[in-house]
Amino acid sequence: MGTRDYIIRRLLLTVLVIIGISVITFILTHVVPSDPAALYVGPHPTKEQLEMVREKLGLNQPLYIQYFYYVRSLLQGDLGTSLYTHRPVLFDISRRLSASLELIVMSLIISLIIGVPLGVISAQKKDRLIDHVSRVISVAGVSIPAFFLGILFQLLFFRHLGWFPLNLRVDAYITIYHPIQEITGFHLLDTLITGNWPAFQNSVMHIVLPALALAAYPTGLFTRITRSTMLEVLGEDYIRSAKASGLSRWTIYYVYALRNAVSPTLTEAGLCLAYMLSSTFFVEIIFSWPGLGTYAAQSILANDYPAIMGVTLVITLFYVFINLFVDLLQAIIDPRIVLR
Amino acid sequence: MNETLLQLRDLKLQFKTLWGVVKALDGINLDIYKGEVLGLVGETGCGKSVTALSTMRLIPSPPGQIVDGKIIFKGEDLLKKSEDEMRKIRGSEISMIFQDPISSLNPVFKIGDQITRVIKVHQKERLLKDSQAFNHEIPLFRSSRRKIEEEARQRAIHMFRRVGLPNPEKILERYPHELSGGMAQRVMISMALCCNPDLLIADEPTSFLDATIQAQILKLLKNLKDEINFSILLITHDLGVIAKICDRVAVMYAGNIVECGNMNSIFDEAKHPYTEGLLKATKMGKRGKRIPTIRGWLPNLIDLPSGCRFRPRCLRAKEICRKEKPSLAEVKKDHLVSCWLYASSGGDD
Amino acid sequence: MALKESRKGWLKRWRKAHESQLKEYRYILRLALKSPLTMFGLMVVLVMLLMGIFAPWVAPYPKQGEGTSNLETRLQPPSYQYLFGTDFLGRDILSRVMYGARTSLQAAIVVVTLAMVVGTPLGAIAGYFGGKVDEAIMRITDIFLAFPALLLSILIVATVGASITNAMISLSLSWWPWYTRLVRGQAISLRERLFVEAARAIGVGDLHIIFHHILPNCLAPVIVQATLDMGYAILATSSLSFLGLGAKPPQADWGLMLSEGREFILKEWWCSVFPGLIIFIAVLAFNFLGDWLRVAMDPKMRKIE
Repeated sequence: MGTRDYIIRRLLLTVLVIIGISVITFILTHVVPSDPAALYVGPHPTKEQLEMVREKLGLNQPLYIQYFYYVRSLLQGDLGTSLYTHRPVLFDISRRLSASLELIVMSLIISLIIGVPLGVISAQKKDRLIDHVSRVISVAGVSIPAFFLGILFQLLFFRHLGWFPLNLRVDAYITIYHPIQEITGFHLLDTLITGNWPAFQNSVMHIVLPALALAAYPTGLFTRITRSTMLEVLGEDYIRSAKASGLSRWTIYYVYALRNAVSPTLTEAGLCLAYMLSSTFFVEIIFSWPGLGTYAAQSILANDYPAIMGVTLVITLFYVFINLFVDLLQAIIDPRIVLR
Repeated sequence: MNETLLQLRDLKLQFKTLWGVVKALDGINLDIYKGEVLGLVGETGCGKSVTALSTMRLIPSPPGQIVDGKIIFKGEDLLKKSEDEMRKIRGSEISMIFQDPISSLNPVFKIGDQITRVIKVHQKERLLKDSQAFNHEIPLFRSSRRKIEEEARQRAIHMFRRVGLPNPEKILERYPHELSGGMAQRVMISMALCCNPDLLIADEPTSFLDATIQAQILKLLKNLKDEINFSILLITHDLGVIAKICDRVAVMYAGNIVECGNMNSIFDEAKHPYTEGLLKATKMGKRGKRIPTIRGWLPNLIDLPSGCRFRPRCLRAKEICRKEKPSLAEVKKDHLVSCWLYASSGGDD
Repeated sequence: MALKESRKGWLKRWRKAHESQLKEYRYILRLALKSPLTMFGLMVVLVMLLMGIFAPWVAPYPKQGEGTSNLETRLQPPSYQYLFGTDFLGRDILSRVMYGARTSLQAAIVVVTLAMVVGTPLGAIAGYFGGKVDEAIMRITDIFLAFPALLLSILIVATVGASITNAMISLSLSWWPWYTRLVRGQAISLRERLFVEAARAIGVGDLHIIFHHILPNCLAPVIVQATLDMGYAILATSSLSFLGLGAKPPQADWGLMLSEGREFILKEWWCSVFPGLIIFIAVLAFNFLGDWLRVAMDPKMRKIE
């Protein structure tokens, strides 16, 4: 089948998955609890409040109608109202989303810049010192819990060395004297675009520790995956032919071999994103980073069910689309994927 | 015709493995002349491919190591050259094609990308000059790159036509897995010849192809050789392939050349017992008669027998065969054998 | 006479009958002994197991391990008396870590076993039957896999209430699809093999084929994955407890201890660092073990003896 068919199939699958997700979340919110309304109303509900919610959710109606109401409100962007902030959940989330995204994107960039070349060099100089070092780094990276690493960083780099700030995204004096104009929501970009140099410096200092803590896992993963796929690829016939044609070392490793090694790395990157999305929660909590993670944590503490539900849905959808993107990207990069 | 292009002198190659040192090549002596097709024949595992890879210095160095000998190509010893110098030679003065053509091509790049890259790597300056010859312009950076690219493409198309590929422009846009075995091998041949090498090494180029395509490819190689004038080192285990296009042939056994010389001379009058055995085994026996085989099996290259490596399987072994290894000596015009049966020095009878 | 002889030589005969299997195990063992990292992993897991099982007898302050507080000794740094220091309620952290091993290991074993037991047969069935059954099972798997790691568990626990048991069940629910996918791939390549065709030709039922022929051959990657997952299960249960969705105070759980100690991190670092460190070491150990098993079970990596 051609690339086009593959793309269509993949898109259909995504639709199916989204429907499935909505079914599962529906079951969790409407079927599992003994009194679904209670979840949406919060502590000490009055009878009228309960009745109102019951009407809205259609709890007196048969299940499939409830599902219909549920899906309709989702499509309208109504994720419920937060019990804690009393604002629509979607609104709360949108304000926090960019903070989390910035953190994740920075970590991924760091881990790609470190991990992939380290993996390539490790494969090139197999069994030499650099190889052993990188293998230790990669195992340690995937094993160490991100929140533990965060705590260690805080101890070492803030408490003992004083190089980086403890937490938060930006210092208070910046918000007063050099306020950041939000264009993309990414502080690093916005401060550069508006030329707000002090704020830029400050944002960089604040993002370093959390991004590094979060980057440990993907760096370890990318190093290991790149190394093993490179080793496999380097043993293939076409690498031998390329050498016999007199191509330069750089071309053979970084153009011919790497392009073949990219595909499994991308798949792994997609999977690792799932882990990272969860890790981000914890790193944000440790560093009081104002993103979805802290929002979710405070919602959990406050038993703010609509908020928890909203965050999960948003993040899951985000994850689904990232996976779709990665798969489609792979189909373009490696034409053989389509044959499978 | 008889100018020497490549001389292997006493080439010794070893592999360090967990189980011991594998003495893969034990003093290879081989000559290839200009404009000829030399066949290198022997059982699987006798060291033919390794000889070819050693010539191009493509043996990976941690396990493998050339411990002795010379490789004299166009008057210079390749073993003394640096890696950079070797890279310039590979693909432009000596080229190699391999057994499985489709897996020898990078699956994620188009054919066009791959062949133009090889052309560009070796002939950047010439390409620029050639493209300028038509335009008389001072080269600007970007436009000169485009010109080089275009010129390389034209060369590739020209080469594809020469090897008999239909629709060369379309093939440039294809991926390797979209080609048939025969077409892929023709592409490999184009890539190997696109920079006009002096020597083409073909390592079992037809083993993965079916019989009719085999004959076509061999004929193509011979025609190209006559047209463009280069030498071919043809490696195979199939005597039938040798018979089709080779001028001379070298027979290899367990890391040694045991017999070498003019093909007709060897086929008509094989001297070395191993060669005799090989030829007998390929002739069609009469109805009802068994196909004669050579008894025994290949020696373990770590734990070699003393003296002549073929001795354990040889029906005519003598005492001296156990003690000393014979060396190649001329037994007829253009026919050398490495065997105590024919050597003048030290043979009891 | 005959009876006596047969009783004496039974060990020898048993050994001979199981010769090839014993060779396998000896090879696997030798691989372990050669690699210091694997030995480290084995030691750690062993120590943790022992700690968990014998905590009440080995811990220096068992009562505190279970949760009794001693406010006089709050927040003491590590000393000879309290090797890991004390936490904010005066409890000995070493004992708490030992008791925590119980919860963590228990939870990990349950989660991984449940996920394996549910996911593996599903994968075998999907791979073996193919067609519509395969499609149906795989779509359900895809849907579960669409939720990023812990999120589904967080949602489930938030719905049904926080407790270690709920945490374990919800984690299994998000984990089984990985095994299904893993086994399905194996099953697909196995069903084309000759011995399966032969069994079918004799008239052996499908279910029997699946359980007696296909599943045993799929076990190798499943075992490797399960070993690695033990580590990640420990991490996941700790994470849930850290959020307050798993173990509840005064239970001793590594994740809970980490979150309890967070307030004091800047001065009394030992409250969080030791539990965190042990989680790290546990995951590391299981990773080493998983790597060892992966090499041990992969026929391609065998060296000719």
